[in-house]
Amino acid sequence: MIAATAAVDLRDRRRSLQRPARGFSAGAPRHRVHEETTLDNIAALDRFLAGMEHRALQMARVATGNVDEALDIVQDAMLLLVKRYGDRGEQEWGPLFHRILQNRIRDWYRRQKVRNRLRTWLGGGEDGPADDMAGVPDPDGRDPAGELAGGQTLARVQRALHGLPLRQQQVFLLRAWEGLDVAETARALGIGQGSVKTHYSRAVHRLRELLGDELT
Amino acid sequence: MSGRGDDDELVTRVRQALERASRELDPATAGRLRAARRTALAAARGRGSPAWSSRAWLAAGVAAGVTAAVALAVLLQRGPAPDPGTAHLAAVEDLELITQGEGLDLYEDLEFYQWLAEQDAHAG
Repeated sequence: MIAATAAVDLRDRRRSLQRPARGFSAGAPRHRVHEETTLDNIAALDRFLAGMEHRALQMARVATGNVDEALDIVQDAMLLLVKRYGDRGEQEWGPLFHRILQNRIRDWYRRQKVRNRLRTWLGGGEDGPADDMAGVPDPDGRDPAGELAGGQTLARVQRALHGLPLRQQQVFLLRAWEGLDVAETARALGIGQGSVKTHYSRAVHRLRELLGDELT
Repeated sequence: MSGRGDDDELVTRVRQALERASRELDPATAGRLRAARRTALAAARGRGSPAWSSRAWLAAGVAAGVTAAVALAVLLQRGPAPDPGTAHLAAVEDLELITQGEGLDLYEDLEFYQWLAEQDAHAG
């Protein structure tokens, strides 16, 4: 029953994320003159972003572990989509937004890595934005029976996803949550389809290690 | 030993947990998201196409190249003692993330941020 409901949900979502006719960027003029976005388009953009923003925030939060950082990333992705691609067809927005969002998450990750290495290099400890998930129960730890009910399950899922390497996180969330297929995920992340399969397999394996007994 | 069916069940459960997190976002955070959306849509009204001089493009290219080189150099420095096993895999994945080509998207972004800065300057 659960699987059937989820399959319907995924099919609905996939329909809203149909592949753009021109792909993500190939063939698009780099310096096209942007026409002023029409009011109709703005209303459509509003609906599109309203439908995406909560899931986008969750994805960014899983990656950063910090809601403020995640909000910045999502706002940045929204701005970029609207300004650069708002005049494109609605069917293109889904793939474009995924690509922009995942690039922003990757950029954030790179900056954190470099910043932490610099701090280590210069003799300081690693530092960064507060990790909202630091207080969430460690999925490797054993909790008393019954603790996983309700919010605890969510907390452990978030914590487990946060602990995955970034690429595994991104691939898993796009494939398992957003319902993108291998090719769409590869395009959103700018990596090969073989890499998508590998990262997804590793992510599921690791999540099973961390959560399997509790969730299945 | 886990099978495909168990994996599907695990994925379904994880998905349900995430859906719940999305639905039950606290009002304050949901309000900030709405504000972010309004800001983005407000920016959609009447955007020109900033023209970049060749000098600006050259500066952006040099800056991007230097940044990438510094980032790579720093990341290749030895950090804290790595854990065997998964540390090697994580290092390889990090390197892939750091060195993945940006193409012209980077310059498009720079163009966009330049425009944003100009808008802020005019507004201020």
